[in-house]
Amino acid sequence: MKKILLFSKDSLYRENMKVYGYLFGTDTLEEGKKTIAVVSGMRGNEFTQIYEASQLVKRLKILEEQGRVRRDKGILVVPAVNPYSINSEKRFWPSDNTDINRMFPGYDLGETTQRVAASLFNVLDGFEYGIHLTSHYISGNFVPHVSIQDTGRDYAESAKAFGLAYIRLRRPSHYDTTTLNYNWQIWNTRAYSIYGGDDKAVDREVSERVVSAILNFMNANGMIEFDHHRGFISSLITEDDICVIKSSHAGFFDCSARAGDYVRKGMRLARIIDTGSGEVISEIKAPEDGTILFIQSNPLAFADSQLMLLVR
Amino acid sequence: MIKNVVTLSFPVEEKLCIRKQRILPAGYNKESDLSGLRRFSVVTGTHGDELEGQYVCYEVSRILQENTDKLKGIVDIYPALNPLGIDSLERGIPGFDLDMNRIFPGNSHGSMAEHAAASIVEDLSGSDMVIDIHSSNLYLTEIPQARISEVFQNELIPYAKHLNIDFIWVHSASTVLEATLAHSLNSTGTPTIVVEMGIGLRLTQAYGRQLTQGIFSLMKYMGIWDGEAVIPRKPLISTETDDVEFLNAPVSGVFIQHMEHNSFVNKGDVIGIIADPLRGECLHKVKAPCTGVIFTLRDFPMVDEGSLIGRMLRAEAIDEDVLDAYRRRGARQVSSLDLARYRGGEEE
Ligand SMILES: [Zn+2]
Repeated sequence: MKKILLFSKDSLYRENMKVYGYLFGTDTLEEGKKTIAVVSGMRGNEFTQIYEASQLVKRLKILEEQGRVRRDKGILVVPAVNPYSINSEKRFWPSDNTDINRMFPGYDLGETTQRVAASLFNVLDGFEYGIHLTSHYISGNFVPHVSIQDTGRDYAESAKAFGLAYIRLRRPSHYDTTTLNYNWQIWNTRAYSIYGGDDKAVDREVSERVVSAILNFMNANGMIEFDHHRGFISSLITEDDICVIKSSHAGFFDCSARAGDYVRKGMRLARIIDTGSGEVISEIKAPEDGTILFIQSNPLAFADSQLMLLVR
Repeated sequence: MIKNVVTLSFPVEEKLCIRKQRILPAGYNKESDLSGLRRFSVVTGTHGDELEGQYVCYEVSRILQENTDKLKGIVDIYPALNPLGIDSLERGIPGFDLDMNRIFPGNSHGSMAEHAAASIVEDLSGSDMVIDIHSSNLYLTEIPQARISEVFQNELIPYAKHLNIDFIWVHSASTVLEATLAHSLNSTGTPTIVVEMGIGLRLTQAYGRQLTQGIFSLMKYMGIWDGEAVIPRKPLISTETDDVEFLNAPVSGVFIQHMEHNSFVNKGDVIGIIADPLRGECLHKVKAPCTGVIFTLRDFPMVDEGSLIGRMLRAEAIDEDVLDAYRRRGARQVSSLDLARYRGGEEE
């Protein structure tokens, strides 16, 4: 294992922001040896994701010491792309509130976060595989799954090697065209985003599953020798397989379902309670048979807003 | 008459209401048949930290309501597309990660914000003209300018010339900008001009008056207003990417302005410096990369490496008569510190 400084950026009153990567397998990141990159901590509150990356580093270090990491394959793990936001407890860039994951492929003469994205992409470009451990724009709890932006590159089947329950194929919207996942694909990296767990705290159980999934994937693609539990036989799902559950009423969101639950049509999933009278004003029932993929973490329900996602 | 465009419930005893003021010509009321009347819409407040449009909405609304006899069409004024953002000094929608101007045309099955966006587009569609007023951000000051995508320049420039603004900036198309309100409306046949002016969280009244005059001038051109209107000033126009130079900070520090915004400067002139107050050092002199007009200038002093300090329009892109007027005004410098005058207590 080598800990390498990937890039740094200066600041007037803070210590320079230093972004480190942990390299396994090969000693250098030259062309032809860029096999897989795993990136997390692009936003300051992605705690579970940063924890996952740190645990991955720990596991790979042991595997490498046991001689089970191929010496001709380069594995790079970057646990914290955005230390400034993490340390100042901001989700986005502290001085201008911009999201690095809306700045790819970056621009080295542009604005600050465009430059950060460019410095990062300069390192990440050219990898055969790329994994981004990331979170949703609505705060909540996801069943761990792989998400791929559908740019017409046909590699979703390859994500089955993770052994996570779902592979979600998403049609990119306009704002997705500036994400790391999308730009990796444009520059010929097979990109996978992994979502999972709650973003309010470190979810160790989910982290363990995600780390194992990444090791499964590395094993299946000949980077390491790792023979642990193989996980699920993944289902490939598209937006058509996902049903958005909303409430027409606003109030307390009293949810009895959990992410990952299998539910039958008509089952009660949550109650909406009036914030003044305490009365139940509405019940949210499963619109179809399926598995709960996502539940928002906000204890309040806003009217006509997405509260849960259900896989049919 | 005030109408609700969007009404969605919050959890505690409140509704999200996005409202508009509709002003009709004298003799019309809400029962009247409005078909055949042209409709002019003024919108602002998508970004909660941009307030310059508040002054313009107030003035347009006030003047029209005092002069409905001179009004020949429908005017709809939407002063706050993002009421929560304005209330909480937040650019976006509190609790929502995405910029509201990146979710249009919205989705009536999506989140609350997407739902609101869809209703806004539906309500504005069919206007004969929409003016979408923005005011830069917290960091930069802009001269009053129209921002027009190259895709729609032929349709929009003739109208923008009547807006009494200083600059028309035609920018290249980008995928991300296809999710703006203006793009959503323009691509479905509702002409929409984005105006940027001033700076976030402030009212620059001179600019507000200038644009208000411009709105009346444009309404007059379109046959919607029959009262007095100014002859619009001749704007700078940039249609080529190469016309504009971007100045980004090469180091982090405190930006201290030497040249005033909207000055004409020569290549090499010092626009300002980036200083390190701890060490008492000038880290970098920000020099004009070309001869031309500084149409964007940083007002907020803290800069990170990469922060935008300003934008210049190159002299070659400016018409001779407009350039002459700028040259005559010359470079306007911020007065520099004189210690002797401090001692005498005479600092002005
Ligand atoms: Zn704006």
